[in-house]
Amino acid sequence: MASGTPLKFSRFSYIFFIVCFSVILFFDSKNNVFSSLRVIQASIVITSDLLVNQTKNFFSSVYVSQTEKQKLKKEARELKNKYEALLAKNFFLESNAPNIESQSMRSNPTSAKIVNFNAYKYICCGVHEMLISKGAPLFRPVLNASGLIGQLVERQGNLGKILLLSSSKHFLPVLIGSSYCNASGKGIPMTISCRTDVSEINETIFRGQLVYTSGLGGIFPKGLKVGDVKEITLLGDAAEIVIELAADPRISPNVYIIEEA
Amino acid sequence: MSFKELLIINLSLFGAYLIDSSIISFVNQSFVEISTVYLVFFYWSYAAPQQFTLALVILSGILLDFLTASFIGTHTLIFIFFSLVFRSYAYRLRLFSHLQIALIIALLSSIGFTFKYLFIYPEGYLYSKLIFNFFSTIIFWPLIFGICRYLRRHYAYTIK
Repeated sequence: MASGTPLKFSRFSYIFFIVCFSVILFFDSKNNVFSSLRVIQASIVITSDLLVNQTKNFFSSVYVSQTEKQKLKKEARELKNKYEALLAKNFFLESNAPNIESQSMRSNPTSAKIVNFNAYKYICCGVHEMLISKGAPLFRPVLNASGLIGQLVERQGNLGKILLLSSSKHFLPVLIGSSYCNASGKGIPMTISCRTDVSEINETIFRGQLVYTSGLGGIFPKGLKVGDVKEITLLGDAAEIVIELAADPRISPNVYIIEEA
Repeated sequence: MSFKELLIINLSLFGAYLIDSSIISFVNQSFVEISTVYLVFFYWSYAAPQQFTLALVILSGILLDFLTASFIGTHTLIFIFFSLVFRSYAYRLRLFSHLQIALIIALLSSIGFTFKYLFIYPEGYLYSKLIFNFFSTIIFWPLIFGICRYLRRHYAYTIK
């Protein structure tokens, strides 16, 4: 049996280095000959620890701040939605609406989101419409945080189409003071107008006078605030009254549908 | 031996050193000390005795001395001694079963461990540490053997 292995190597070199390193170890352990190396090692360890901790802290703070930011954003969004819903609810309370008897109208209205609204068409063209995310029963008043914006006229699958008050296709009987007037949209943003005989006007109408729904159309209950008188033009025996709408449909993506009017 | 293979051997030793220091700082018990570095060193000495030359052994030892802030020569001496043993008996060791090899390696590891603590750092020497080291070496050897063999076969395939 062979006492060694087929490997060719010099045991002498191993023994030589064992002796060499024994001497080095002896002097280093007694006289700290290589203490500078240990100082370098310690400085490298401290520096790397610092770098690692700093990097870790940086990334953890970024993560924490991002998470907090997302949380705050979500909270702000929820608060904004709640605030807008409260504003919409408050709209009834603020309105001069003694004929609103249904308690359900005073309760929370159904909220929906605008999914499609062509702002360009709203400015340029006559028909003002928008699509919302909920197809509630048709011909129900729709409002947003600033007030009445239109009515639900069509269902498209799960979506609902709103015809805005300012649309040229929309008609709304209004009450100005104690005088009735059949207003219609002119395709101009936030504006409707009505023409009536001067003889039918019961009392003086002035600029800035508040305009309310008359309740005659059967869709909007009587007494909801529509806007205020912007301009009055006399055309012989008739008067053209331009009304500036109180509600801007562009201010928020949330709308509220009054399901029981 | 190519530079890539040299790098793999040294990186595996460095990785083992990181594992050792992480385990020690994580467990934080006086008797816990695992010599993964020794196990990795044993593997390369056992699997590639011809490629794991004396120069490489000395280089690895000095690097480990530097990394652990030990006196220069502490690990180098142990490594040269282990390398001498493995180069002398590498092919004969392959005749033994894995359990027998694990026992031999645990014994060698204990010798290195004793040398390090008893002669150089006697204040850190504990019998419980020695016993823990012996048994942990037996337990961890198959794992380290498997990992290093995977590394050798996939990344350092010219080492036979």
